[in-house]
Amino acid sequence: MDRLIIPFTLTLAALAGCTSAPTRPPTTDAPDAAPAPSPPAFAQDADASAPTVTALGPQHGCTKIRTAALGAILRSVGVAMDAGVPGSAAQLYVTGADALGLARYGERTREPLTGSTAGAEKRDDVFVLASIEIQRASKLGAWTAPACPGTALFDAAHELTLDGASCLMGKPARAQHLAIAHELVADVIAAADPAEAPADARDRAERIVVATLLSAAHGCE
Amino acid sequence: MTDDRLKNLRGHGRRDFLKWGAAVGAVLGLDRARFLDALNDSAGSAMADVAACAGTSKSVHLVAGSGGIPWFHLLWPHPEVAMAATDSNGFAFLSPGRAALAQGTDRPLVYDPDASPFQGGGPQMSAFLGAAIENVHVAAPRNAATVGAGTGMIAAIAAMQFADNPTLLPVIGVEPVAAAVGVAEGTPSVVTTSADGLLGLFDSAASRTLLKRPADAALYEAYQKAFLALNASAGRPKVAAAYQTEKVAAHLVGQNFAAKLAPTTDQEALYGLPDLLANGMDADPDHARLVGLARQLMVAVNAFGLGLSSTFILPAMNGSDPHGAFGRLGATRSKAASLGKIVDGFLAHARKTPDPACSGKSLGESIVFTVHGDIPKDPMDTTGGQDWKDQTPADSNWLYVYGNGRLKTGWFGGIRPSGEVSSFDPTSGAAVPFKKDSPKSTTEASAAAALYAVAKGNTAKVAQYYKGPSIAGLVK
Repeated sequence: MDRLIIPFTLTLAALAGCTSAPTRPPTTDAPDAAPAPSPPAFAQDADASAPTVTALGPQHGCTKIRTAALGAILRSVGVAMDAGVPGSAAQLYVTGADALGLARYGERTREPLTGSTAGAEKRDDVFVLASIEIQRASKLGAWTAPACPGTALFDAAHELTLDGASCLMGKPARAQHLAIAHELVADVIAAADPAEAPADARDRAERIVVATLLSAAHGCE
Repeated sequence: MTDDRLKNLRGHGRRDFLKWGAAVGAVLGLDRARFLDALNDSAGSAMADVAACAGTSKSVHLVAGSGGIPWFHLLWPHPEVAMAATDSNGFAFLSPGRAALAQGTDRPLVYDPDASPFQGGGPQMSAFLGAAIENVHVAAPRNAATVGAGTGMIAAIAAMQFADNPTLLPVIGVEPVAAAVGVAEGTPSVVTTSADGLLGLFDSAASRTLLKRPADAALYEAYQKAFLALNASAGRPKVAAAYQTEKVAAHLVGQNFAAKLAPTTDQEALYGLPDLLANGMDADPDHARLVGLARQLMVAVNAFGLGLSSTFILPAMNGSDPHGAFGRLGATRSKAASLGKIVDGFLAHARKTPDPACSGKSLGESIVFTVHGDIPKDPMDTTGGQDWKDQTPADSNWLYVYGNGRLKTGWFGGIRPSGEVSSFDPTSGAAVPFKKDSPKSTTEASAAAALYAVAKGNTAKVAQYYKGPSIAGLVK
């Protein structure tokens, strides 16, 4: 069999070479789908200026953000936590508590340390709704995040600010974060329906930036 | 172009080549579809078809806790008890004098002609008397679903499935029975949900608002991954699994599967829901339980068909506890018939659904289900309809398994009209006296048979979790 596997290996290797770039879900079958934008090429670039992190003790895994902590994060970035507002992030946070993994003491079920896919999806879902509220408030100049009072999320040129990104992430943002955010905005606008008002496309782009930053920064404790 | 030398490989060489090829494909990061394309081109479609089939079946585990399990005894009764039932002797069988012996089973199996499923043929149920009842009614019983010391049958099944063919939400448990899963090495996280929230797992608010456009959902996913890669911990082995979860979630949040998973009118008809709904649900909570079970089974099959999940743990008549069922014979017969029709509909639905893990096959060929509960009630004591007594002879309990052709069928062990209880020898399948205080070995052997069915007969997979005697007498 050894003589047979070599050509087959080469076939697989050739195919693997064709698929080494990040893949995305197919979008061309949807009626309003635009050509898939190219992936951010610098996404994997290391920041040469960033300090090297060396683990001195046991390395901890990625424990899930506790449900209560998620509420605190939402509050800290200026999300109104009134669960009575239909379609709000706060409402989804409350109604999605089971999926988020909230402890159920009556059933002797504690909050898990590791996140489930459904829990991560629900948390991302909450962040998406939160991003709509945050961007809307920011556009009106009414965004007040208790974690970083007085910080502007976007500047006069509609560009994400370093302080704004840091506020959303809860840690210092780097130049790469801003560069990726700018490219994301450009991609969303480029993929927009030509009939859509440019301002609407920009709003949507900014919301997606906020949602992706929140989600990527708050996946683990 | 097909290489005839590869195409004509047989026996160990063929199996080794498939294993090796899949491993190389995985190392090179090839997705499964492209690997299969390459295999098809190089070694022919037959080889690709073999490789395309997952090595484990999908499974549904019906947990009839809090007194729900006696309903299933009405579908698959102890054969001798059903045969001996009369209108006046108080035996728990709804069609006295009409018990029909199933044909073609390995051990005796009796139908209630008005209620039992699978009377039209096809694979039949296996029933194993081995476990002990729970001490009290519990919602998520485990006694009858244990494959080893501290190892749960459902957990072991989920671990085998996850190792063989990972899915997005590998195990979905509907409360209050999700805890019946137990524990086993390698079990993926169990996604729990309320019955009402089952579809919500696949229905994000994001996909209906900000990420409504597929292009935006794709950009969200791609850039979320880009931001993830900037995290200081990215790339560390310790966080790899969690980051993978994050990436899957980023994909799911932009998707809306709810429409594809929601039960359709045709599916509801297949499960007999129109008749059940016409009976009115308000008057009797058992109707709501039946409708809920049917709809959850529809979602399960639809999710299997999309390759989204591998195991569902569902409440089945959980909490019904039919002590007075034989005092309301008309209603009880109607409910038992509905339950049988739901089980028939479940398999019919699976047979109509293509198996995403085995090209050209239907899910009906690779689905296994189990039914277990807490306290199955005394098959011979309904006290004239006043009270179907809880306590079973010798405190025995049992496990039903639909092995889909991989298990010997019919009852292994059982209860006789005299009250005598027998268990079974897993190696020969023969009846042996039931040991009230030590049903461990037969309980575990029963569960191992369920693992064997899910593993499609792969004994090496079963041996990872089952350490007891041979189960040659239970399997085909």
